[in-house]
Amino acid sequence: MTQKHLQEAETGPLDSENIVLADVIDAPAFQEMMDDYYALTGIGIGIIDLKGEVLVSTGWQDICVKFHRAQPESCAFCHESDIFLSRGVVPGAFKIYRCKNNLWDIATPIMLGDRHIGNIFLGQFLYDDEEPDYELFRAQARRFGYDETAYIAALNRVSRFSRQTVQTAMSYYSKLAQMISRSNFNNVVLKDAMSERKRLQAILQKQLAVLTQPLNDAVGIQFSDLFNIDELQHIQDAFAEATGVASIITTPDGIPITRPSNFCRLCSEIIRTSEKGLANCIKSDTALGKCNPSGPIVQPCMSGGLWDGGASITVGGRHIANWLIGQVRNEEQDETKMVEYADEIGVDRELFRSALSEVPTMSKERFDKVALALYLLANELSQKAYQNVQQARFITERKKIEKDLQQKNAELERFTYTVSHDLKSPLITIKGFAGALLNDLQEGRYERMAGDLKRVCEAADKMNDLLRDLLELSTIGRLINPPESVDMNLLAEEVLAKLAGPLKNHNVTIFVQPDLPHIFCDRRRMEEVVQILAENAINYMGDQAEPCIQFGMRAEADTHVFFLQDNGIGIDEKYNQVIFGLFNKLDAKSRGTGIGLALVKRIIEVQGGNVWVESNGLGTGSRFCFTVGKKWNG
Amino acid sequence: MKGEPLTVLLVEDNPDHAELVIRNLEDFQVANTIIHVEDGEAALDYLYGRGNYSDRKQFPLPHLMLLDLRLPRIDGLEVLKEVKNDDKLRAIPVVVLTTSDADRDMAMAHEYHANSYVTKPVNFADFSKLLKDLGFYWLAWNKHPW
Repeated sequence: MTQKHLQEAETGPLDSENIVLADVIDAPAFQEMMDDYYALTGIGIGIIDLKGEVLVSTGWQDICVKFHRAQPESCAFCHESDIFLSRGVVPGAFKIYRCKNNLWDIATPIMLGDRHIGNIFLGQFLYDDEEPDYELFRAQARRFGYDETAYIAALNRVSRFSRQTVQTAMSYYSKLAQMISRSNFNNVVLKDAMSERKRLQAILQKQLAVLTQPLNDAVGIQFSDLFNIDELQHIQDAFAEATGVASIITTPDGIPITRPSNFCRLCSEIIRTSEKGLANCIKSDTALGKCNPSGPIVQPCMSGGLWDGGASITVGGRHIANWLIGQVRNEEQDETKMVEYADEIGVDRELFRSALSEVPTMSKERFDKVALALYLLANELSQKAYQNVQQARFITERKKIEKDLQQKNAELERFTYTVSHDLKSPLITIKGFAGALLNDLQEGRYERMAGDLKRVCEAADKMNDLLRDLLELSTIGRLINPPESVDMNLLAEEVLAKLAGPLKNHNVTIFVQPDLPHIFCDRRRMEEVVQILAENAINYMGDQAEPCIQFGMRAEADTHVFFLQDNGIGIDEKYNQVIFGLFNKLDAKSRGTGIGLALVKRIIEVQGGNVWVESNGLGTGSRFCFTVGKKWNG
Repeated sequence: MKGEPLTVLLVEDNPDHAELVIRNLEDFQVANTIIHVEDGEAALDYLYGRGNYSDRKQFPLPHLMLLDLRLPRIDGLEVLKEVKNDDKLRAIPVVVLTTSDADRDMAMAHEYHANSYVTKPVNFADFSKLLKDLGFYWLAWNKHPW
């Protein structure tokens, strides 16, 4: 069914007070069904809500449509009949009444739970064994101004049913009404369940982040992230109630997670209220919950000597909680010794003794069985928690992959755009000047042909360069060298040695910060990064009289920021992003295709780092900074 | 035409493409002056008469602007937006002449009220024909308010 309120309710709390009949029944489907039924039986019905709105109708009588409902005053009678005369009928029963325009009508109610929301009507009709009171109808015709002859003709066309037919039809319709009522109710309940499911999903969503932390992360998983504590409390209470033992779930260190169930007065009001007693309880609980893969641990407690049992709850090998039971006694225990414990922890002996007498007694054999049941239940919980974690990881992983894919697609789109534009550009030059050359050749004008040919060749070279660089870019992320520990001082020295020629030509002074850290990275790619940055620094020195390049590192919170700083022409802040774009060049005449910084960006990002430029504007030099993932102290 | 010299402002970062455009416009002799700038910043400097372009006699407002989109410094679309937002510059016909046939570029150019959007034909004969038609239409047929 496609009711408006049901859909809205998915996003908000259920408000059944505002639900009307149109929201819970599929009126068009009913209309079709009832049309067929009418064709078959000649018995028409209407489904009308409590405000008098007609949702489904078949077999309308001419006398109703063309006369009663067509005239305001008599139509008001129709509405009044629909709304008021149909009141007070018990669900499952029906009421036969004369409508205010003096035809027979029958109503049976449609409910939503215990709320009356509409009616099924059968009518209008006349019994086949009655003679209509023609005088009365003639009077009605005069009163409402109908054409009397036509009105009486319509009256004679009104359906005539036997009393037997009416009984059977109404019995059928009251059952139908009840069925609709039940399905309405089910729909509303279903919708309720749907909003409850949404709420639970939200909780699950919140837990996802926590659940996906590494299992061996000491501060990672909390017990409350894996289980619904309320639900667990119910299980624990029921278990304690059914077996007659006390029970509590604690952290591995003995700190309570759930509320104690079924605790005896001796433990809760006497032993645990003394400082020493409580400390012993926690110590005992810790020992009981120790991981034991072969079965439950059962032993007399270290704080009074009652029998206790425990099982551990572990997730993926990590011990996250203890489920403890106990506080029972049996014949084997020495009451005298137990009472001496009162002195040891400094509580009143008599109080202790009277509380001890309330402690339930249970045979050791029976207690072992209860402990085994506990052990199996704890294992089941561990299993369930593990599955929760696995599922959460799976979902998170999939979401991440979807997001990555979206990013990749967007990147691909930008890439395609750039490539198609940049590759087409030299093609236009080549074809353009080739055309000009042909023209000049035909006209015998030779003076600019050499220059044009040169342009053609250069454009072809440019295309070659672009293709080579594209190929290079495409290998990053595909051809990955295994990461290794790289001495950044050594790496910088090697790169600068390669650039010795250009550095000398431009008379550049170099400073490399001593004692740079080792980092874990793809060595060959890192060399490329430093080389491209150094070459850019040399190329954009401008007319600096004392050109200088510095390579160094500053440590930040959780990462090393390496930087290559120059005192060249610098960069206007508004181009800080643009310069890293593929084939973007601020100066169209400068050498190269404009791939350098795009390469740097791609290499650094593939290794999980960031790259950016810091400059105080033109003439102040620039500082290109990059990180390589998280700080690594190799 | 009122007999005054007709000026075209060509904003094009690729020197080869600029040469092709200039040659074709000169061949058909519709424009008297073609001014070529290589990036968006220079284009705006010219239009606003800033810096080197402060002499309006030497650097008059153009009767037609041919604008490439992918430009260094200030992007062609930015230039277009600024021109069409300026009361004094708005009337200058701006024809976007670009390599890009990306739908987004075309949509944005029209969004910013480009007077026309044409892509550079790869074929030389088409390139010539386009420039000839463009020149005649905007400089000879089109009536300027100034």
